[in-house]
Amino acid sequence: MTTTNLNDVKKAMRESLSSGAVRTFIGWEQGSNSFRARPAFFRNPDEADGAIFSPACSPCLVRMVIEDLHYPLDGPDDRRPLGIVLRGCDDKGIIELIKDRRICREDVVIIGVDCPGVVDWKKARGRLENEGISYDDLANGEIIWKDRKVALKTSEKEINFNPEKILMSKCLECEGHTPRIYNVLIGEEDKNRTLAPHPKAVLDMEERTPDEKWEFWEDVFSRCIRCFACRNICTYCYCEECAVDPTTLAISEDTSAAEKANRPEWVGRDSTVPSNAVYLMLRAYHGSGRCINCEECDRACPMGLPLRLLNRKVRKDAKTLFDYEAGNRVEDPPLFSHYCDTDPGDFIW
Amino acid sequence: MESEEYSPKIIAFLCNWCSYAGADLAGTSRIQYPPNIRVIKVMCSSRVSPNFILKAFLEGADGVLLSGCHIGDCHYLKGNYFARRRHAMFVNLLQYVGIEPQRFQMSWVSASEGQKFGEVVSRFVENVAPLGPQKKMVVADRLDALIAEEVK
Repeated sequence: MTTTNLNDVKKAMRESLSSGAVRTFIGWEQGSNSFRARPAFFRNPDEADGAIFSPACSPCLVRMVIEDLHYPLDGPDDRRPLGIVLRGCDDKGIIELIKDRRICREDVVIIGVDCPGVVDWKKARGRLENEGISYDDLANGEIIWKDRKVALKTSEKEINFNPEKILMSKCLECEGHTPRIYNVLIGEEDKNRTLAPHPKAVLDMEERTPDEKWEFWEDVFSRCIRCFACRNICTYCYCEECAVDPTTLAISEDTSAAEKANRPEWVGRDSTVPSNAVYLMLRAYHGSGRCINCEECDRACPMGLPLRLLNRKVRKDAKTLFDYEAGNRVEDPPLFSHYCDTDPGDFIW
Repeated sequence: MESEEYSPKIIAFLCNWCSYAGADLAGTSRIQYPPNIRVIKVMCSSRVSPNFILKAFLEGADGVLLSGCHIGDCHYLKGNYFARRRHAMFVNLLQYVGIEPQRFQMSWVSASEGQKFGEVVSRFVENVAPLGPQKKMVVADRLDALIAEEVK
């Protein structure tokens, strides 16, 4: 079980909403079945009753902060802070936003919660038959944490899941169950924060020959349909003018037709292997020192592509080449906005 | 058109103050080096972002060379420091995906190093030529044009 009591969370939300300290609270609400939850904006104390906190809460909420910044629900003149519920992994996203100077710490009011691990719906969906779960169970059952593990409770039975077979990959390498920054922490603080080791999948990929690597990645690139779901859900991908999407040129009423016609197009929107390769590589590269491994891209990808295999490589390199971890310390300057005399340069002739 | 031996097409991004001047010196000193590079002059090596390099590959480049001032000698003081950091990351990513490591190279060539420039280009072409034409990342309509040329 989690040490976080949902009623306490709802109470904290209701209090900040009714006192007017916070303009909108971002949390989770029940999704289409018991395994699924979706991000929700609670705008008044009554709506806060719909909040949930269970193993179904897989989406990372930090992206919703950015969405609200772009299109403020409460209008551009309401400068009150946003509320957000954070787990041990999401706090990195808020730290990154503060580092990027997109928000100040005072712009968010954080309720910290203790999260033992959340469900990967894609994994769960494939296992329904194995575990003896019917669609009725899905609709009417309740997914809970039992002894820090995920279980499904229906009126007739209780099914306990093997963590490796149900949790999101990032939960299997959890660095800490509670966030490091918060206004109020509901639950017991996790005092044993660790750093996840370098992912084995990345190390294995690095060992392959160029031909083997290209064989793997060409297959991945050929399956990408350029739906941009990974970019739209990504915690760090919030540029309004996207370098890999020529249709997002920033224009004003003075932009001439010639400027629009001659805009630089680094890569087209076609979903052929070369263009997809550039899209995915550049997106991963732009996440250097910024990707927090929230797994939203893998979760959102309709083609099930191993996108994080690229991002985790970049995370590993940021650590080994520059001793840099994204989302770790607010005082760290962004990775590519500063340099060190001791940066590696052996690859340069 | 008579059939020709494959000759790699290399895009070279040269910084205005050091590497371009170095290449110019190689020219005026009549230093012989392979004619495969097509130069794009940029004001500083840090102007070059991975966008540029990937775009060059998309358009059919067989190799990309990026050359700037030596560390500490950047005309804009810090540009090449940023370039070094950025491309250390990018070079690893390119190789991770399966692009042959010989196809992208960075070098520091100063304005007085005409000889070195010739050597850098010779060494680069020697490494890239045996790999054959770059076909993995060439965008579709460009690839059709390349194939049509080969067939001719």
